Amino acid sequence: MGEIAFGMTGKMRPQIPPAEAHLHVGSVLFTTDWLALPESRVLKFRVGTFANEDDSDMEQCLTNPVGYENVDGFMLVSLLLPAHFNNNPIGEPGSFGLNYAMENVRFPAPVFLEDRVRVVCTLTEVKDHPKGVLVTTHNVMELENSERPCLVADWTVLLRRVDDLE
Amino acid sequence: MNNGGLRWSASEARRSVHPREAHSLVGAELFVTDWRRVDRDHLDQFHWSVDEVEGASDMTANELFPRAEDNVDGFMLLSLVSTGFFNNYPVGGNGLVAWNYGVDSVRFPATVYLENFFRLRVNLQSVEEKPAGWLLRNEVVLEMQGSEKPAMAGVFLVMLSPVGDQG
Repeated sequence: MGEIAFGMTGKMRPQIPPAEAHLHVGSVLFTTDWLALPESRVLKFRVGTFANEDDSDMEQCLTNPVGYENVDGFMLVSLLLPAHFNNNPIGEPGSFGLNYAMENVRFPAPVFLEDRVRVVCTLTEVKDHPKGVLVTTHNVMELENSERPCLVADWTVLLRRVDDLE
Repeated sequence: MNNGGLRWSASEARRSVHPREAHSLVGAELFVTDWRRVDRDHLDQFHWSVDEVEGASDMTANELFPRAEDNVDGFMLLSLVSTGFFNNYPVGGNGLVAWNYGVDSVRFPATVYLENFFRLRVNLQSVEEKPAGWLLRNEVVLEMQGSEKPAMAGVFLVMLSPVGDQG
């Protein structure tokens, strides 16, 4: 399987019930370990998302002299999933998250194969929703040895309780 | 180029309009793909690539998601926008490099499962000349067959720069 994303050393259990999350707005929820992005992982992403020459017209992408080595920005966005699964302390038994919205997603610095990244996640807003609680975090993916991050994104997840499902 | 519904269809008009001439397309629909879906093999590859699997990540909460194993992640749908643009985006041309500049206002109104078909509809909102090239804002809607609500909607920002001018 190779290097596991963002250094999960054991199953993290939620420590902040959604009903109390508003007390932590403005706090850094977690900072992950550094994660390298080897070619093997990036190629899986490209195959999975059809971003290869067998499935898509990659001519314009490969016109870029560093196109092959460049890690797709949407792969960086997708890596927020394991970062949160393994580290976000907000939740409780019987609750799960729905990917609700993203805002202000930017890629200030390009990432290349074998670069290392980590996620710093800050809680920015907690709002009630008819079906649960909306939790918004500001996520900065830092790039090792770069002053600029490689990803910034505001991500909103709707936390629902499984026993509330119709 | 549909391959039984597992790839985006491709337009012959892709990369036929230079960005300096794209102002005339502002407000227009740039393309609509054919319907397609995602299969288990590609969904698995996506999951493996980001460690969204038991043993690599704590999937406890995710397992409570209805039909979690068959659900196509919102971020996978977002990622498929890239290849939709590779095959269909009419703005571009020789000597230009396209960069993923960012996304705004992304929503996932309808849940997508492996059996669902969807297509990508794109409208050009604006073109802005920048020191590094041209920044194009595109409204992207991933329509789901048989659903009033789309699977995803958002604004995708594409930067087109001359080769060698990326800074």
